[in-house]
Amino acid sequence: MDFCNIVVAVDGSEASQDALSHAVNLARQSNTTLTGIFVIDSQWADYIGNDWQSSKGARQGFLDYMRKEQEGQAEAARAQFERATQGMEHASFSVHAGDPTKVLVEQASSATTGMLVTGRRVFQVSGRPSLKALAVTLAKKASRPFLLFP
Amino acid sequence: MNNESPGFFRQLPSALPGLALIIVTLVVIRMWIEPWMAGAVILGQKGWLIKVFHLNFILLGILCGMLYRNVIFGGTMPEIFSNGFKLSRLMIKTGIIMLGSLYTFSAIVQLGAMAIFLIGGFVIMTIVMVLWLGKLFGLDRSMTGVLANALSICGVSAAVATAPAVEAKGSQVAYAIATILGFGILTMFISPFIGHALGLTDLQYGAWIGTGILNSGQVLASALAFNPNVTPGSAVSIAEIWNIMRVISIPFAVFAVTVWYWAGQSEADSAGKKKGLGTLLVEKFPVFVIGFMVMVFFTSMGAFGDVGIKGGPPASETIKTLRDVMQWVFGFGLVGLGGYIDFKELRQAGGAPLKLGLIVGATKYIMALVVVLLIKDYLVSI
Amino acid sequence: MANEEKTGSETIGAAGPKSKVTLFKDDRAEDVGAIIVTVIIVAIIVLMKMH
Repeated sequence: MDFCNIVVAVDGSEASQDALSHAVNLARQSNTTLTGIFVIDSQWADYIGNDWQSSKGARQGFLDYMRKEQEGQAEAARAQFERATQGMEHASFSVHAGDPTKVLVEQASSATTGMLVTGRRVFQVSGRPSLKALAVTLAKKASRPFLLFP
Repeated sequence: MNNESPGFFRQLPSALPGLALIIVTLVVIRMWIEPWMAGAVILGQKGWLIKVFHLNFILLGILCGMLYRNVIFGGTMPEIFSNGFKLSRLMIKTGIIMLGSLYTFSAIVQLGAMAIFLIGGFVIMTIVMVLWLGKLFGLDRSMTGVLANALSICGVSAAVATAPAVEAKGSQVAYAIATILGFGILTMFISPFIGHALGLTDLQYGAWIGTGILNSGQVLASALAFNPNVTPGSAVSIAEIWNIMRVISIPFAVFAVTVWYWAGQSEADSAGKKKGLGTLLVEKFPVFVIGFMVMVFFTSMGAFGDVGIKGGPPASETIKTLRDVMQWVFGFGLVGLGGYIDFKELRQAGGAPLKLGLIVGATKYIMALVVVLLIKDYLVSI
Repeated sequence: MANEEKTGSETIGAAGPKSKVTLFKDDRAEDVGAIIVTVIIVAIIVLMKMH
């Protein structure tokens, strides 16, 4: 089997562990490259945009705080990925910024993606409610093969 | 802090398409759709849409904003319009400052005292209720803290102001916000109906929604939806005093909840993370309220002529024009606000935060109406 | 959206610009902006009505 490139969504939490282990196994067996991705959610500003009454530092302070939390989560994801891929030659990890759903759909439809592997609850750890529908959206829109873990 | 981002004036051109969309939307609504609704004969009645649904340009504007985002643009504001919609808050703040021209100092003192009395009572009731229910539902302290302030003071602003202080997780804030927004949007659309059905006066209605609706944006919207007129004693002139009192109380409430949160943590954990009241006041005090007060001052001094208080001389031409402009400014701001309402986020709200939010929100909403009706003889008009 | 993709193990990078809710520097600058806009609007109306 040749998947050319396996992309796995990693969020540093329990939710991505199964998907990551399987992706690593697949990549090792088929000797293909493995790319781990984490998405820093850039949609928070929009999400809290519904309110106007604010003061110095309240909203921006919150956005900066969320950003820091997500960067921490990205670090955790990278650590999780590195632990799982120890000794692997073709493994890389990348951090994206954007709407996590959109970025994953892009990945699941990109010509450079051989296969996308992801957990159903990935990115919920630091995410907005709409991420609960991530798997459904992926199933609807992905044009490349993808593997979904509960 | 944000040295890397370009300044306001350099970003302004990129805001023009969104701004144009907002302006065109409101102009079309006010120039063509509203007159059409007033004359249209549906089910044998002239102006049926207005009489039965109480539709006016404010509600239509919000609906258009929601339609743009959720239907036409498929859930996300396109890049080209997003900066323009970011200006909607500037417009609403401008409207609020201009609203200062509706009051004299004595009116502010009277209304403010009433607002403090009602808001104070409800804030305490709500916080106690949230802390108790939070324990009952087994929510963790961060989540409970965020919900306590969000449900008691003014929704999303309070939630985001509190979140860092109680170390809330992103997903927790997200659920709190989804709950508040869902409830807020529901109340925003049903309140004008209830108000008209019960025959509430502007004063009663303003006091009710100012106390009972969670989110400041929706208080403004549903006040204008009830009565789009911007005059002394109109629903918006009452409700906004409540709103301003609420926003002033944010730093105090953040402080209170922070103290409560850290009381449950070890001394070593809290070192350096707990902020004092002074810091919070400086950090979180809303400057636009000062602009509002300055406007009240000039109005009281008679800088714009007569304000047209009931029984007094009619409003001056300057004041009348100012009020017309205000209607437009609020209208623009609220089209923008509608553009931030995202159904896919609201649909996913759930779990214990939603349950708690609905119980507390509904209790507060109903209790506020009951209390306002009980004390209606004591409510003073301006 | 902005991507930062490198290979190897040290692959974490700055991910896009910071998100902001306002075109102003911060919320307080937005408040001041609103005050300035109000002053302009009021000044125009007052001047118009003087003549």
